[in-house]
Amino acid sequence: MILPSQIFSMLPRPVQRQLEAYQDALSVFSEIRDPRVLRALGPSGLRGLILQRGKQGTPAQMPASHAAHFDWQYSDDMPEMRVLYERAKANQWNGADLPWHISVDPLNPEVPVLPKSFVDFEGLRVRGIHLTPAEEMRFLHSLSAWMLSQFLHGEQGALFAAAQVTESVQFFDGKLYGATQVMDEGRHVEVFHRYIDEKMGRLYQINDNLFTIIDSLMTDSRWDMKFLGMQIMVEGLALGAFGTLYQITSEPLLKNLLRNVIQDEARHVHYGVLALREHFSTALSESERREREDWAFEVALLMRNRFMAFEVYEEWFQGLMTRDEWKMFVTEVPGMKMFRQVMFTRLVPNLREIGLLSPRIMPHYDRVGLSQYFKGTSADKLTASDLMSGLDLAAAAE
Amino acid sequence: MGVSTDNFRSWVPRPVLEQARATLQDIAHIAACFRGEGPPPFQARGASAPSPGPVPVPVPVPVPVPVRAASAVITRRLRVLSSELCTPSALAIAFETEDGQPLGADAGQFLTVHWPLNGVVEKRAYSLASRADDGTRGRLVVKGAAGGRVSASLVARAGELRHLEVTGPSGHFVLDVRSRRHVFLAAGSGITPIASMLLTHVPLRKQDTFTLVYGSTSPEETILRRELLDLANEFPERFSIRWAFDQNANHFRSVPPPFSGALGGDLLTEILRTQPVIDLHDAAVYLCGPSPMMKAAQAVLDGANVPPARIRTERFASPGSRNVGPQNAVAGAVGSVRRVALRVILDGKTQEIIASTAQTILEAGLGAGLPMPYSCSMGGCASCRVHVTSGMAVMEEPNCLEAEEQRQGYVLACCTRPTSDLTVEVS
Repeated sequence: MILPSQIFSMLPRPVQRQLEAYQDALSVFSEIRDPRVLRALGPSGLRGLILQRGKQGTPAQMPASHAAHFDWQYSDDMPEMRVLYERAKANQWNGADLPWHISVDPLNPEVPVLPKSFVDFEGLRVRGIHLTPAEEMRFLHSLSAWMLSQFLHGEQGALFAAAQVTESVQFFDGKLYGATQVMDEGRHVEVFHRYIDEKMGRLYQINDNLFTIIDSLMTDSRWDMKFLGMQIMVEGLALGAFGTLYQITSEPLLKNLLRNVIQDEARHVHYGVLALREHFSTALSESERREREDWAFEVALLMRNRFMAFEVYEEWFQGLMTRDEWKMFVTEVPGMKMFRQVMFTRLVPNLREIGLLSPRIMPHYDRVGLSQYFKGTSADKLTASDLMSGLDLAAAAE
Repeated sequence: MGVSTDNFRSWVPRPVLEQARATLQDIAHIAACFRGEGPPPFQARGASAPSPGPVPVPVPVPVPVPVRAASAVITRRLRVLSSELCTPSALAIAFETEDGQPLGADAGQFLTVHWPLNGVVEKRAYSLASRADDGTRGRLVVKGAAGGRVSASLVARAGELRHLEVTGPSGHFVLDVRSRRHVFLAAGSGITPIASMLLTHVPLRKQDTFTLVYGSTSPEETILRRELLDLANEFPERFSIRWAFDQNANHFRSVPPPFSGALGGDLLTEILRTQPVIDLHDAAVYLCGPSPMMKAAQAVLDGANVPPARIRTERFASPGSRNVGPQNAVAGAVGSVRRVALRVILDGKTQEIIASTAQTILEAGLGAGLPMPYSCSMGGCASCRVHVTSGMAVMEEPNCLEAEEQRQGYVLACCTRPTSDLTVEVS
């Protein structure tokens, strides 16, 4: 608690709420163990969590300081990446071809965007909050619109980060591939934006934690940190989130949209693994590698613990329950558990593959319950169709 | 001494100013949050927003309207081999296909040239004026017509053209192969498709007879004069020409001598009366030329009881002279563009896409990846004819669709824009 509870309770309600939010933000930093990681994430955290630059209603400026890496020899330096480039070109798709004519009613329980099982409404009732069936549908609409809005914001970050990564990546074959990813991300922005605009009817503000991660990536001058953050962490997060929604939604247009997007994302993570595996094992000192290992662990925790849909809380329950109560509730909802499961199934094996899961860090993953994912399949050994059939099987079992 | 705000701004470096502005904005934002006046968690978007939750914060945002999509029509690139004036105002453009594939044209067909002019890609139809074979080469003749912006621009580039982007070949103005007797009535640049037919078929169809009545401003302005004369000299037994000139007919020697005057109703009647070689009986008749000449010739043929089924005509109208109609003017106006649902029934399957009232059916269909048939893409060939089964649309005029077809509900996808949700069946 920032202030003694007696003083805190005397403050006006809006001030109390704001202080609660700051306390929550500060706890993010207090949990970071490595001072170098704190230095890397700190300024972005200030801009995202405290100043809320993503919510000020004006465009956010994120100055970049990376070097554009030119290769006048046009080296044929990574044939595996060239194959990925060819595959990316062959698998381009047109967002306009999706069945946009499908009428989506987010409040129709017959064809839910999110099923009621996504949320534990009993968990709300024991906290004294009773929603009618219609209110439950409206709440699910809020939650699904929030998720899709974060997807859209994340894709905007991915679009610009992919452009930066294309400039700074050290392999020429990687630059060609990067160009296709820029196109992919542009298309993802297009389709999520259109879906939100035409079908969901509302756009939520960017989550402060997502802003922090994007800001950190965009302003870090080290190309491999951008790569690690974007291609492994954020793309892993995206695969987790998209995969979860893909499995549980009954809305056919969204399912179709996500299927296409997931297939692109699988390529993006594969790209990250290819580019970083060699770099981390050959070009970094052990100290530098450790820093990245710690950074990845901290960001993985940030992604696991911090996407709490506070924007939905503020809309629905601020004043009815505390921020901490909401956190406990949302952490335990079945949909969020599933999201974490899908995300870490994809993320942890990739960290292992690029050499950021040494015996030194494994106990930390074990401590937070992530050791079950150590032996999974990494993105470079997983085709898009493997990925989709895995999701389809899981969806069928739902 | 005071320092004005403007002076202060010019004195402080821009990065410092921007940092100061951002800091002030941060402070204002935090202060607003502490007052409980923070930003709303979401903005309402689009027209289909469901009823809001318990804390509605409506921030209406206009529905974004798609700008007119770039045409998805795929053009073909031609490499220009030569571009030379063949008369003082007509440019002959010899070309070959850049992809090395045969041109694939029938004699009498036209190409649609996509020509950028003042930032807009204009489309104009120009008939092939060369012998049709299985080769990759061909020739267009472009007359620098008065007021024709694209034609004038092309003619002005004589000797400098390197490439052309085209669609086609398109059109149905080709030889009636069932007929053994062919009568061609041409004026001005209307000779080009007819010359193509003559150059192609006269040498090959040994059993047929071909006669050409060709009116031109003057012998000097006569397009393809030399080649037509050569053809007539080579095949005198089956091809003959009657020439008519508005001016300077006496500069031209031929047997019989050329007629003098504009090729209108009177002169045509006289030629048909005095020239027994022009036998309309059982003949297929082909008309191409300026509108007044076409009207006059049609009247003469009607008077001579030539059945309409035996008359083939070719008319060209540039899109610049098109009448879009009041409804379409509204649909095309900035700010009134709307999204509509467009259902396209193609090969028995119904595909539904979102189109805009600013798009043609063809642009919307191709833009959504549908394999819509088309050729000239400017209302001149009917390759893109579709049947409207429900909804409202406006078609630009003129176009080559017959009045009867329009009455039956057919439109040309390339020059028809939806004004409501629309269902069309590709014929």
